[in-house]
Amino acid sequence: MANPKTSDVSPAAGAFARPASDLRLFDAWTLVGATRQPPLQPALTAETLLAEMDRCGVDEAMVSSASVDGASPVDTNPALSIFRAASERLHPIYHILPTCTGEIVLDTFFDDMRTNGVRALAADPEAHRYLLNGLTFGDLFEAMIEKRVPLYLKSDWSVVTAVLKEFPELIVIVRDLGSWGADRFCRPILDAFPNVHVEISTYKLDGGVPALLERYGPERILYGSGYHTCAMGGPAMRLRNLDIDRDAKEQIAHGNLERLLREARP
Amino acid sequence: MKPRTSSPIVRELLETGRITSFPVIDAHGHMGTWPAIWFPNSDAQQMIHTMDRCGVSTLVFSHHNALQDPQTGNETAQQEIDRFPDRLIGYYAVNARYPENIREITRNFSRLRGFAGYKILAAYNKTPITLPEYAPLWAHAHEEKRPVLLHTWGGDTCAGWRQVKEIAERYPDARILMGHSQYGDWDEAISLAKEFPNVFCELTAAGDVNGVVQKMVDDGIEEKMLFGTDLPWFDPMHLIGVIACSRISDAARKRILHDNAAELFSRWLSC
Repeated sequence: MANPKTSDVSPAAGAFARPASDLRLFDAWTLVGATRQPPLQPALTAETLLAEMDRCGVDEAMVSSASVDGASPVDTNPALSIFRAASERLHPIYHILPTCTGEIVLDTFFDDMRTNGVRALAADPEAHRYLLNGLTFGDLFEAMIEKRVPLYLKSDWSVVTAVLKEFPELIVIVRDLGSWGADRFCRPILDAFPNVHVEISTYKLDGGVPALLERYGPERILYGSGYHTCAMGGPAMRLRNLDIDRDAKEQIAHGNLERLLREARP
Repeated sequence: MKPRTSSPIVRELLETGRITSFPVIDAHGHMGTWPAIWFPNSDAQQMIHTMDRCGVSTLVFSHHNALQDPQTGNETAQQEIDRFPDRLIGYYAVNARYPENIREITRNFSRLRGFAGYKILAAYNKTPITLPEYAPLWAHAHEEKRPVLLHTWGGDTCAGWRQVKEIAERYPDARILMGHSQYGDWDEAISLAKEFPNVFCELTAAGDVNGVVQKMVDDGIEEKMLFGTDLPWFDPMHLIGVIACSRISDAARKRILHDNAAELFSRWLSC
């Protein structure tokens, strides 16, 4: 038997962009909290999440409640304050509900966001059973546009397209693109709506990010991990060692998200 | 910031962009276009460029076209193996819907160059691996101790854990690689790998699930785990990063990324 040797692997490492071992990483999508069907290693506490971030070299993270699949945002949103209180490295994402039921009152909702350092929102129309449209969310979305607060949407492309057609100025972060290559879905949306960004935790497509970069530039691509469902180490190492230039890597790793949060005025 | 780790393997990855102390072997790849996805890098040259970037010396693959049309697709795979014999090893893709192809290739496997074993996409073809049409394949794999890569997924009734158990008992010398490690049915996959010396857990997609790699190592099957990427689907650095950052030893990392596959494919790596 003749095992392949390292020297058999060519060309040399120097032929590719230098790895960014010291890259500052700001994870755009993590999940915490109990669920009905928990993942193998759930993150139930800030300490668990922070330990994983340290191990994988992640500086800061957006934190969404995993519990929204079986609990109301009325309860899960305030529960995230524990994570903000535990560390300034953690940034909560609130989930929205329609204002028609009084579960969310616009003025107090934004007051609450400011008080608790929340600068991004997420929607889960399937779990919370509402239509994500202007009829249901017109008042909230108009306010979000004015305040430049980003909205995270799962990659249900019909829903994403419908929302953007109605609210093209809304700043949207499409998360969890899926591992089945999403370009046929996301490119028409990126072409049409300049306020749309993509979070690339599950977009593992070989060559996918460099191709997006070539077409759209780095400004609309956000590094994320999808932890605690997904392993945190994969997306981080993938980005560090991607064969793209350092400036683009910095924007994807943290710069773009920091800009979005800086511009948000809830 | 840099990951907090004392692992020399992780340090290599961070400092050089790939593992330099040993070559990574990818036990689960494909090639060519696929109807449901646009691939930026799906031809052999592009895939080898990716392998170079990630420190992957060898890819064991079945051509996407062969999963649809075994006759012509495997011929395309043969051409690419002939172009890159030191980098590519083949799985001959079969489908019980084409039983004559299975009978013919099991009789004439020696005419192939650089093919180690077989690939069955049973769930997609809706052909359980226990069908009599597959019997010549299993007999051949058993007789010559060849690997058979299966697409396996939790709850599947074509190549789920029950079917794999039946085949593993009947053909103890066939090397059965559970592609995707019975995704979701982790305990069943681990039990099979522990019970049967000829059953292995391949990690494409499965390894991305938080905690799976550590659970398998903790449960004692580190010598039965194989690195895989579905290339040209997934950037190999993703799963390399997962394995690097999992709470396991460097010895286990090397086992998964190299040693286990080097032992399993030793006859063909020397080609």
